[in-house]
Parts: sequence; structure tokens; C-alpha cells
Amino acid sequence: MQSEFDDIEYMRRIARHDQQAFRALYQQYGRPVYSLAYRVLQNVILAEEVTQDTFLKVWQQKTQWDPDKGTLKSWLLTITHFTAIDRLRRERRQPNLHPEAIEDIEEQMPISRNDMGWQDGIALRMLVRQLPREQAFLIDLAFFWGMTHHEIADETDIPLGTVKTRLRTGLQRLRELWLDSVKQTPTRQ
Amino acid sequence: MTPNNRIDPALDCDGIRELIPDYAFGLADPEDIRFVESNLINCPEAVDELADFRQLQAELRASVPQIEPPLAMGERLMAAIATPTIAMKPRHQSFRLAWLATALVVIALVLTNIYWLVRVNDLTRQQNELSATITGAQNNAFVLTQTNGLRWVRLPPSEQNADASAFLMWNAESEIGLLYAHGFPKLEVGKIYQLWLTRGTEAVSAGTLQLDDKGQGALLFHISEPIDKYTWARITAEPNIGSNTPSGTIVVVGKLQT
Repeated sequence: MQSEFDDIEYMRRIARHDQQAFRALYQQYGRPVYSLAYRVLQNVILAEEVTQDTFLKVWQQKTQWDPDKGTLKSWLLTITHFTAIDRLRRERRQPNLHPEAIEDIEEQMPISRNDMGWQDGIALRMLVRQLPREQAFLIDLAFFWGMTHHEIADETDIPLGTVKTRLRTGLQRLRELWLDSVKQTPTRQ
Repeated sequence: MTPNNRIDPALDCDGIRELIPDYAFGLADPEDIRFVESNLINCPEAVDELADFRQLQAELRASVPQIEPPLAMGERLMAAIATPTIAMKPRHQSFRLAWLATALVVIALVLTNIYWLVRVNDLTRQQNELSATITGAQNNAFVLTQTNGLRWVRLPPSEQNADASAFLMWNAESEIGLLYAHGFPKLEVGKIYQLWLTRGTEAVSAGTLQLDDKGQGALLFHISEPIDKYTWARITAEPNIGSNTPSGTIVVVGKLQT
């Protein structure tokens, strides 16, 4: 398990352009970064390009990690997420508007089930599935695809007000479920 | 939804909390964003909710099904950082300079080759002309000496040039003759000695003489008729471009008929 001390040391060495540290960083976080990029883009080539862009931003020090604001992994995944959404918009790719189809894609992907994060990921996805399907679907479009209220309303033909209400309600409900989950499993902290 | 009461933010914590999900997920309008950011400090509950949503977002990103990246992606990434753009720029510039230098050298070589080609052609032409002249002179000398009709006379000096003397040798069967002169006085600038063959009032120029500092020189000449048909030979001082008829002072003169 990667400690915060290791991450700080990696980033310190990467700042000095230590290629071995950079390789170690990729070996540690390449898979979650690539997985998130693929989840957003659903294309292996684009996912690889976004993964490379993300790590090159770290190498070129275009953005700085502040350990006080979060873990290195969260910081990397945030960069990945925004880079992927930017790429999604440039490619003018359209979301899959059938929630069932999204779930099918997830089930068909070669999932690695031998890491601790997988358990947490499964747990959180189970929480999402406890939401009404129409709310979970809109959260998926807003969060993973980076769509605005108006874009979602246009794409789904759902009235704008309904989109706003469903999203807000769904997010608040998801937070409640997540907090309950955290309370029930204190070791996750 | 935008709260109506924004005059006293401390009293509108519920309104801020209502906007937090949209704000956290980047869905809020610019006006709502300004409202949340300017009043968040007055609503600790909203701050806590925002922190929860930030953490929830982080976990959502990490919750996606994990898939293995392509095996070669790591090596491609390492290759990408091993050849940074910054390092490539000077290399391109050095390539350009190398190409420019090479192009200049090639142009210089081409121009030099053209110059030397013209020069060699010119020298070759001069050599050919010289060879033709020498060959002609050799032929003339051969014709002059390889016959039984060889004749010669001494051309004695005139009264004004007592030291000057010349010998004229020719072949009776040909139009070729050889003149040898010595003891000729040095001419003033713009003058040259010229050999004439005459019969009656007719005078034919056989050529001009180039003499050294001692007044010595030779002339191998070729005229259009056999030399035996002429009566006299004389050498006069003429303008250095030569004359059509003898007009200058006679230096030597002698009769050809022996």
C-alpha cells in the first residue's frame, strides 16, 4: 500500500526529473488513471492518450500537488477526469443515453479484482444503484461526462427543471447513503 | 433554484446548502457560484457538505471498474519524457544549420568547378593553338631543310647601320624562308623591323621581326609565291603594327639571285 510519505518523495524526485520515480508513479497509479479515462471516453486509444497527457502534466510540473488538500491519487484522478472531459468535448463524442448499456459496458470490461480499491469501488457503485435509475443516470451524465443541465436536457429531452431537481435530489441522496456507508465501515477511513 | 433572500447570508444557510450539490459538481450558474463563494464562510454546515461532496467525487472517480492499461503504454510514456520537445528544438536547428552549410559548400563547389572548367577549356584552346603554330613551324623548317634546292644569301647593312647583318635561307621549290638577323640597333618605342621581298616596284611583306636586347632574332616565313621569283630582300624599320609598303629606314638589303 502506497503511503503519503512515498508519494511526497516520488513527487519531490519527479520535480528533479528523476525518471525512475516517474516510472514508479506510473506503475502505482497508471491503472486507476487509465480506468477513469476509459470510463469517460469508452475508447482505448483516447484513454491511452489522456493517460499519457495526465502523467506528462505531472512530469512537466504544469500543476502542483498539495498533500494538505488530498491524496496524490485523488489529485491525479481529478487531472485525468478534467483532461478526459476536455478530450470528450474536442472529439464531440456523445454519451451513451441508455443507462443499461453503460452498465453492460462495465460488466464486459476486463476488471481487475485483486486490489483493495475494487472493493470500495464496488461498494460505491452499489450505493449509486440504490438511487432511482433516472437519478443515477443523470448523475452519470453530469459527473463522468461533464454535461451541464442544459446539455442533459437537450440530449435526454427531459425538461430543464426536472433535470435540475432530479440531479440535486439524487446527489443529496447519494451523499446520505455514502455517509451511512462510511459510518458503518470506519476502517475505510 | 436561487434563494430569494440574499441580503443577510447568515440567515440563508439553507439556501446555500441547497446550492452546494450543483456547486460541487460544477452545475451551478455563475450567479449561484458567486452567491455560494461569497457566503460560504457564514455557513459551516454548507462547508461540511461541500467537503463531503468533494470526497464523494474523489471516490466516484476511484470507483470506476479497474482495467489494465496496454502493456506498452508505460514504455511509450517513458519514451515521451526521454525525448522532450525542448531537447528536440536545438537538434532541429543544428540540422538546419548543417543543411545550410552543406548547401553553401555544394554551391561553392559548383561555382569553383564551373570556373576551373572554363579556365581549363581556355588553356586547352591556347595549347591547341600553340601546338598548331609549333607544328606548322616544324613543318616549315622540315620543308626548308629537306630539299636539294636550299639557297642562302647575306643581307649586308646599309651605310647607317654598319654592325647590322642578316642571312636569308630558302628553298627554291617552296615559298618558305628563314631569316636570321644580328647586330641590329635598338628601335625607338613604337617601331618594329619588317622583312620585304621585292621585284621591280612590287614589294611583299614576309613578316615582322622580334629581336632581343642584343639585336638578334629569327623569322621563319611563308609567302604565296616561290621566293626565287623575287629579286631583293630588305629589312626596314616600320611602325609596330607593320606597313603595307616599305616606308622606313633600310637596315639591311641584299639581292636574292645568286
